[in-house]
Amino acid sequence: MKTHRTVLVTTILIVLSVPLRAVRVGETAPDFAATDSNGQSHTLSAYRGKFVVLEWHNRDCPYTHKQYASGNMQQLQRKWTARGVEWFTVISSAPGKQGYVTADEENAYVRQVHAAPTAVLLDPDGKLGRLYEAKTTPHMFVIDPNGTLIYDGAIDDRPTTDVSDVPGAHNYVDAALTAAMAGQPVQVSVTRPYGCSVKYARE
Amino acid sequence: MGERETRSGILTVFLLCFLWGNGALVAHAREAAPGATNHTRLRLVSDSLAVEPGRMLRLGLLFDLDPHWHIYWINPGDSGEPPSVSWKLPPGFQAGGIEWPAPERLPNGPLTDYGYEGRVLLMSAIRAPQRISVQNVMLAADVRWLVCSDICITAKTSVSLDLPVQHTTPRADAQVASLFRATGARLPRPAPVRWRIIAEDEGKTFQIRLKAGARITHASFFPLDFNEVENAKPQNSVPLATGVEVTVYKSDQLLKPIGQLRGVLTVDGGRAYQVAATVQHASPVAN
Repeated sequence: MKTHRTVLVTTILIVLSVPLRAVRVGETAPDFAATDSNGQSHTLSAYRGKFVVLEWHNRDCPYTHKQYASGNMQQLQRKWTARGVEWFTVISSAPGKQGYVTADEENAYVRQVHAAPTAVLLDPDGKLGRLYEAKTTPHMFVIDPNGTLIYDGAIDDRPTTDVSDVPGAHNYVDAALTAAMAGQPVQVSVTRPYGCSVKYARE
Repeated sequence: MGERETRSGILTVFLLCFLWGNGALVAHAREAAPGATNHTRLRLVSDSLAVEPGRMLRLGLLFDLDPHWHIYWINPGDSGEPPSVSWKLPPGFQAGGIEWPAPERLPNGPLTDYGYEGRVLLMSAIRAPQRISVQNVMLAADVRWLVCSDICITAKTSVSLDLPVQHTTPRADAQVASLFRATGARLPRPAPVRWRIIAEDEGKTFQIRLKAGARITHASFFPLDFNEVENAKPQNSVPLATGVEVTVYKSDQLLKPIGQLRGVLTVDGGRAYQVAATVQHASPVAN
């Protein structure tokens, strides 16, 4: 038996939480426009026909640090950009929050750690992060040449900050790109992202 | 808030008095580095003052966190990581898993985590072997935890307790006993057998409907599994004549239908229950 009250409450909940848009694997990834650390602007739609990776980043987060201290993230960036993938590191830390950097600071960091993304998108107002509902650093998204989201989740299957866990880990991004480029279905397309929370500006 | 802190402060003073007065508990307890580095004071405490061969005792990792810092539940929610423990016990001793008290919701901008602030005791059952040939045993643990406020810090340390072996049941001091008792009361217990609980799939939401035989004013649901419930979305609890109904938003990442929604339900602000709600697909036109 369903009461009117239940229906009403449900309706109110739905109205309160508009928009109920979702970034979902299997659906078209939402377009965005963002500026990189060299002042160049990028839209997702400009990269139709290419694989795109979005990597949420906070250099001072221990989970991000694990991937960079081990060289794993840089190695993935090199491997896949060499195969034509557009790899965007995204920084959604708000000014004053951990991980917020100026463009110059970020460019110095990229050189220092030998990172090799296509570009680093600076998202201090969190617009891109909120659009993709990026939760953690790292949080990884893979978009195929049709603009369809094919992976959303963790970098790998070892949710720790321990650098020694990197070599034995199964890397979901690497697996997704390998499969998709070979025309195979992505075996694991959604996982729980693990890491520090993205340091958004308070609403 | 202030009141809670004061009470917790008084409890801390009592506990410290007790601990310092009781060599057995602190003699070999090593603490994590003090607050400045990881915002945590961690001690290993025991519900018994000695180990009795063949009997069980409970050890607890007692976390005292600086204000506004938290650690995580077994399902940390949108970010974070639960503490992990690796027991270092003498031969024949066996340790059970961490007994997780019901967590709090920890909203964080557009995200919501599940965890603990202030003081939390993470208990584990330890079974002693039938025969122990020594007079004292060292029970130790390597602990790793993530502690976060606005930022996150990883910490690890070793804690240990040196306990005498006795052939009587040695009672813990009242203060520590009450700490274990209070934590025990926050452990999710199995749902009563007479309860009927379902989760009606309404398309965007699950309506978790509990028939408990009596009105329940308010309930909160904490999902055990990842990517089933949208952690940050508000829940709505409506009392029913014979129970309660809680509406939770489905996760955007929930791509396939699920048969069961597992989690912890806290009712009327107190007791917590382990629930596994069978998912029912209410109508074909769910939207």
